[in-house]
Amino acid sequence: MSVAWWLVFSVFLALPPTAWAQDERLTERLNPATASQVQQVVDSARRGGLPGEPLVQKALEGATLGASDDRIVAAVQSLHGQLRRAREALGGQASDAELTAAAGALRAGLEPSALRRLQSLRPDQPLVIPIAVLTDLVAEGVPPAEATRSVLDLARDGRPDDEFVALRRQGRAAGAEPMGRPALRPAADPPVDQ
Amino acid sequence: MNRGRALLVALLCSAGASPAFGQLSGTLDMGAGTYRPDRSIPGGVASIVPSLRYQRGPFEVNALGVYSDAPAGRWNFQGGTEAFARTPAFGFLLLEVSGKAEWTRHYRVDGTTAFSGAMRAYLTTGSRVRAWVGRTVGSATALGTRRPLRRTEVGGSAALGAVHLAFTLASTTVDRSYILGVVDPRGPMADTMASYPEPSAQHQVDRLAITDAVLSGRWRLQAFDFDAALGRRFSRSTPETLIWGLGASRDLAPTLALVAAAGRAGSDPVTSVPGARYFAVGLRFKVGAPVPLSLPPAPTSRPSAPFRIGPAVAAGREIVVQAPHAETVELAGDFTDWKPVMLRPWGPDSWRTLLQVSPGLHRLAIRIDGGEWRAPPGTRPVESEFGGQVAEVVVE
Repeated sequence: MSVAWWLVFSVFLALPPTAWAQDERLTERLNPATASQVQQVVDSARRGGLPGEPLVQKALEGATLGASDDRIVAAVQSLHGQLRRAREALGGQASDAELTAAAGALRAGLEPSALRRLQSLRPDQPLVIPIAVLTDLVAEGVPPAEATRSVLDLARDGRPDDEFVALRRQGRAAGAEPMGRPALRPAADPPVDQ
Repeated sequence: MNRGRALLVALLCSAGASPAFGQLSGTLDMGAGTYRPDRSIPGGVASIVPSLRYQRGPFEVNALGVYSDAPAGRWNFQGGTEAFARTPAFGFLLLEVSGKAEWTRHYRVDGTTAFSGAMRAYLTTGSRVRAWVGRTVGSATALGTRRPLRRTEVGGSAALGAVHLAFTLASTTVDRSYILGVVDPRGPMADTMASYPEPSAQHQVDRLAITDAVLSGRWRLQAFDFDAALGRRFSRSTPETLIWGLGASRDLAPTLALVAAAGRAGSDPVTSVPGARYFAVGLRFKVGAPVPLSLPPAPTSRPSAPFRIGPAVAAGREIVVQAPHAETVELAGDFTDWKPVMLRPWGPDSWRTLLQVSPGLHRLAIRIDGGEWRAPPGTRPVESEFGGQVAEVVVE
């Protein structure tokens, strides 16, 4: 066997199974033609370094909700475009989960610059929860600029994920002023203990 | 039933009234410092300050205690617990009701007990600026005498970058007793309801009204947390007093911080705690931030949240849906590959399952009795590209 054939054989072995196999979940739940069209979009996404799983989930969602084949394919293609925009915003280092969350944020009307800013403020920490909270706040009716500023403030301070989630609760509850955190002030002597 | 037992019962009732599933967090401060009260013996003190917060949905319970030990065995304890319930926001308006119990205990001296209820209305624009007005009514018992208390407050707060600023104007009215001819009731020591509690022929009661105007701020910078307050106390019956406080904490570890505080606190006319100058340093131990509780037993009554995804445990996350009169309830989402999962009945009107759900934003829907797929009650519905509505939820 020539060197060229060995090279071709090696490349074939190195390909991920999804690059040449149909996702069984698609073939089980969609008709063969639709499954094939969705698989093409999924493969295209993976070749471009984008996550394929959210695209599969979108198709499965359509199948469960009883959508027509055309609508399923259109929704998967639309999500593919959103994932591409998310990758353009966050760059090649973003995880699949971050890209998926970012696609949702862009779909909700947030600017790519907000995602880039968030990423620059949390360079070594996952962005999934902050992006999800940002998206949720906007969807709850908080103006995008307002929501973005609140989330970026927390990111700037290096706050952990649970504080972002708390911000979301605050956004929902509009925040009350509870008892306040304890001060290290000593308990007082009684007024008559002289 | 004595007062201590009544307080214990009130605490247990407030804990029982709170939902059995939520998030619990707390701190324990331990420190030492100096303390110069307005009318008591100054000196060094050691303090222990535990605090707990339990929150679930619109309900919240806070508890705070301060125990101090001074030389010659003089110990003092101040405690308080407050339970809140908040309505959803109606546009810019949100309402809150709360109940509060406060008490003090002292070495060799009876303390005070106060119960009050409050209602506040918040006006909010987004999550960064809000204003509120509130009214508190209750009664306070000091040294065997019970008297009504009233408080009216207005306030506002704003977040400016990493700084959170707040302004409050609170007017408190309590009945105060004093002894005619012995002490001028306008004197600096006559600013609490129990200032001169000994009943006698000269014993008089009048109404003490105190108004505090306080501007406070909090600034978080990396591992540091700073807070400051500056205010003025106004009263027709007592001299004006400057109130101030400075505090700082530095995180040493995720559950440990170094804390310091100094200031001039005003007297508390309700608990009769006198004003004082103080300085203290210590350590803050953080308990949970927040701590997820273990899976609760089946509820005996309807859970307050119509839909919830619980904290992750080994078996997965508990998902509970409230669906009265349903025969079957199914759940599908991107964490089930959109395969319908049948929920099991769990208490009155509730359905439950355990599933592995990763943190992040998830899409899901439920179907009741084989009907249309739709967003679960209490979640944020979004229009699906496929028609109808599904929910997008943030899982912590």
